[in-house]
Amino acid sequence: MAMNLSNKILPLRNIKDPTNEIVKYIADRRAGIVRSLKTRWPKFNEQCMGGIEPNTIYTVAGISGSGKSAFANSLETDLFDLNPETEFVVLSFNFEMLSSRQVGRKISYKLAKTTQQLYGSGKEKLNEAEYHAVLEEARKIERYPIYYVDVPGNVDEIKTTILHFMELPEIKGKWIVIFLDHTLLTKGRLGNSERETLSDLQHMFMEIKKYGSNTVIQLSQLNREIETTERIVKPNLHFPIRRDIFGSESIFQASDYLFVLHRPELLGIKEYGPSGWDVPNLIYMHILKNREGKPAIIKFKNNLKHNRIDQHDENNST
Amino acid sequence: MIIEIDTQVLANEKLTPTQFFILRLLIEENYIILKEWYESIDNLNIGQELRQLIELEFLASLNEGETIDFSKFVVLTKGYKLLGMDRDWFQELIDIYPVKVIRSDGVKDYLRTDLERCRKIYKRLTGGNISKHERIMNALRFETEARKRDGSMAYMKRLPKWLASEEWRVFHERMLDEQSHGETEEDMGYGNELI
Repeated sequence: MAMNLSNKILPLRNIKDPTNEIVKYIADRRAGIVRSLKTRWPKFNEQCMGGIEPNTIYTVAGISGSGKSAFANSLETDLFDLNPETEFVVLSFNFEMLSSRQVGRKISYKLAKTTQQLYGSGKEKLNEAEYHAVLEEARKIERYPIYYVDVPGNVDEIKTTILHFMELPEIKGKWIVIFLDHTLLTKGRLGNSERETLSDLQHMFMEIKKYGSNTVIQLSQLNREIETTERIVKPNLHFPIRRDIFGSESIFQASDYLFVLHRPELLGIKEYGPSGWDVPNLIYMHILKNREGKPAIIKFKNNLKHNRIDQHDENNST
Repeated sequence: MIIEIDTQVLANEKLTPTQFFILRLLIEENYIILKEWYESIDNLNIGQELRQLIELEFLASLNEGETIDFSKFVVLTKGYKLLGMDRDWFQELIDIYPVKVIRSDGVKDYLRTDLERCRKIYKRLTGGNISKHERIMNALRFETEARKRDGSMAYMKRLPKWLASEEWRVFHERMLDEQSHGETEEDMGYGNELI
């Protein structure tokens, strides 16, 4: 049987080069030249080398309604607000909703109004002053260097778009934080299964993160196993585990950090986990993979009606 | 007659085991055993032991002179408190016993049934021994926590059966075992620390 051998030879590197690179990285971090992008959640920063790092893949998974999109949406703008000294841009593949709706959520978050209030879909309509506040906030938001792609594409199209974006004159050489909401909405090649597409996507992201200072933050779904009766009634089985993530193998391999956002109240759980943790209005972030540290759990306060989640502080909720 | 003594209580109250024993028998009005016991022991100065109990305000005496009539000693509140006799132990048990559970077939079942019979069983079970009562209470607390953790609340017995089968003994053993292995409620396993 004839074998199709590729002629492509992968590049070889002597260990000296990566050694020099890591020494430079350590020196740069020491001197404050290389800094992570701070988020507004101190406990998250503590666990993740100070925040969001370049050349890193972050995966945020969760069931529907767990706050994944709010988490990413909040990050998109918070990173700019909290790190004015660092130059970077955001490229956001938003396959789930229109980018205008995404901006609507940002306004909701900034003005602490629900999107229903903003869009006047409930009984309340915005008054004149509130409408002006919306306009003012919109003018601020439009100045963020954020670029959206809200037309779903396949893995090759995403890759080509990223490479094209990197070459734009106003972007070239800058740190790019790439968001993808969410992985399962990536179109498959003809004949590819959902899992194959997911696997291809992960390989592509692993390649992309190595270019320049690219960071990838991808959102993904859990499978339905965490919703089974047995998992719900047995507190020992409440916490999400690796295999709860859809296409867990490839995602787990590719991710440097893997978080699962979980709102046990969505599953009718009254007390969470073996120690019976509180549930109402709380979101638990399970860090299932932490390449530079230990897995742990962070508690957040659910403020999803205003499209934000806040770190939970036992003494003083922030 | 078997009596358990909490040595920590003795140390706190500065009592000797002999004084504790005398007090216990007086509370139970077990005068015959008390008399037989002290007469069988040489060199026991019962008068001195009783005087000390009076000085420590566990007892009052209605006896005249040096005569000792055990029925004329009155146990004071402090004495009842020492032995936990001022509390309703059964009510304490009821207060922490789960009211209801959902059985595995989805049916709601109420557990605190036949309370009068249970009260009698519990009195017999504890035998006036506060240490035993405390042990049962701890085992019950542990059992409910463990069952919540394991998702086995559906298998919690109704109170009459729980008492009759001495279910608490199983969980008392398990509690001691887990404590000896350093397992605690807070031990959540690798990666499950809440920060």
